[in-house]
Amino acid sequence: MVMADTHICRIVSHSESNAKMNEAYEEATLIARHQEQPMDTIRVWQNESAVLLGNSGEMEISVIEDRCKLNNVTIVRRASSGKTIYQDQGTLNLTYVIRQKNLFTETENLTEIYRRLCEPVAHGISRFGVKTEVADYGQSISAQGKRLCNTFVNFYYDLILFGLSININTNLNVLRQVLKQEDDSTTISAVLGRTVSMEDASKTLLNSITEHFGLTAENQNFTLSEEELAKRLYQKKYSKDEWTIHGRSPLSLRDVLVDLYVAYPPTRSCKEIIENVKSAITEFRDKVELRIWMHGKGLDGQRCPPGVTMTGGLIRASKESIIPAVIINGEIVFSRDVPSKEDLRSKILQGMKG
Amino acid sequence: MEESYNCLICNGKLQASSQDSTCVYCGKMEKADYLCSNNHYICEECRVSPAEELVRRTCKHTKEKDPSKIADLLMKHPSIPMYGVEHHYLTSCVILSSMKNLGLFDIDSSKMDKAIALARIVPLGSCALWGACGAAIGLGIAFSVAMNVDIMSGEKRSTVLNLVSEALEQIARRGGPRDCKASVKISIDTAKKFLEETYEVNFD
Repeated sequence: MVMADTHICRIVSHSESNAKMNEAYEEATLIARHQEQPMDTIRVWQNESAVLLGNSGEMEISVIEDRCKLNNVTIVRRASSGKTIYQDQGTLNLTYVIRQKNLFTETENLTEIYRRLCEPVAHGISRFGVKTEVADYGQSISAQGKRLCNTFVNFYYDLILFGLSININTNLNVLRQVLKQEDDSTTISAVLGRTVSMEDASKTLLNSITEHFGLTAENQNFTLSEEELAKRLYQKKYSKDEWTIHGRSPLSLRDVLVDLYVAYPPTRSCKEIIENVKSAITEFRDKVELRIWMHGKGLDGQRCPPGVTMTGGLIRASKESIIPAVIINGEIVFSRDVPSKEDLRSKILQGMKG
Repeated sequence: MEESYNCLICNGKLQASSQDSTCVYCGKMEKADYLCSNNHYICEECRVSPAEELVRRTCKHTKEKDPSKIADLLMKHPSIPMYGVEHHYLTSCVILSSMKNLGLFDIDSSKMDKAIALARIVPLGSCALWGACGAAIGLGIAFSVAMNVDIMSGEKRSTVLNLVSEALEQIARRGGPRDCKASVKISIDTAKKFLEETYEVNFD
């Protein structure tokens, strides 16, 4: 394994009793890692009984809702991709949130990276006496031809969130009742014919990861801003049926999203519009998210970074070269002209009222 | 927001400037706001121009004889996307512009407008939907407009048909999924070969 030099990684053991809040923390860690640059993170956590849909998973196809209600199983939609899975207190989650270039200096091949992130977990499981196999694309870890572990992945700018959902003592009866699709899952305890404690599993697998990657682990809690971000994500996204059932994510975590589409480099009118917008949103700083997109260069010079969604109005402005353009909550409200601060303020207020 | 910018033409670092400079696209001379070390300047109007306007402005102004060079310049501009219908009229206009600068046919700006209007009819994905790539059709449109070809024309009609079929054959031989930039290049090369062989022109 080729690794970067000695690498410090924080370990955050944090579980919420609300499965939707747990998912909010997953996304919050990823976004905060980009905004505040805390160190690479491994989160160790567990869920109460829950079915986790992938970000584009369809509830009708994969979940039996009546049986979920009967068994008190919460249905949650993840922001990460991957298959629909069942989890409970017998399932251990390990989530890496890493900057790709920090941990993997010699490859950009994502499936290779996924496989490598699975390897120490597979080695850790084998320490219990279970012979494991990592799938070709790192999508699962199996034993005796059955799935012990599913993986899920999400991206934000140059960050990867890679999660492993490991069946230690997961209740397979409930799993088979609530999932519609045929499932070949098993658990470490079922393979061994004895119960493995969650604590033992957690310690063994974490040790295996830190040894494998030569990581110096620091136990830490989530930061205050991660907690605040998780709460906001929960309120605006994960607690809503719009997300859980339909998979429609809010445009922004704030009340209003203002996209500005300007020339590269900005013209005089583009600069003027940027100044006017910045000035107009001063009083609503906490309620407005401003994104400045540049023609041909995108956001922050990264075109459309992973994890950032282009709104319909922005796509139109980009395709039709409507420059400059002010797009509020996905609608083009000013095109080619420079609006006054008062006009901008009035449109932003309209956006807040929805 | 990004505070330092790079030149769209050569990727060199742009510096704030107040020097009199000529826009590489439309040829307008004015005080530049940003200039790279190779003196590339793009005026504000061209920076915000939609594709069609940019192609029209550039092709009407340029004195460049080589259509490949005009196409390369246009395809560096962010208003020309990676793929799309813009490549259809771009092909027509750069060929017409080259013909004008070589002194071939009687090309005025109305012919470019006519070519754009005709090329605009060709839909996105005509390569797959019609079996005829829009860039190759753009080549046909350029020669049709330049030589005033109509349905009753004899030899000239054959010339246009042959040019398009030759370009289409090359595009088909290249294989793979759609690649608008490559199709533009093939169509322009077909036009250049024909002009060289027929009119003994030099594109330098």
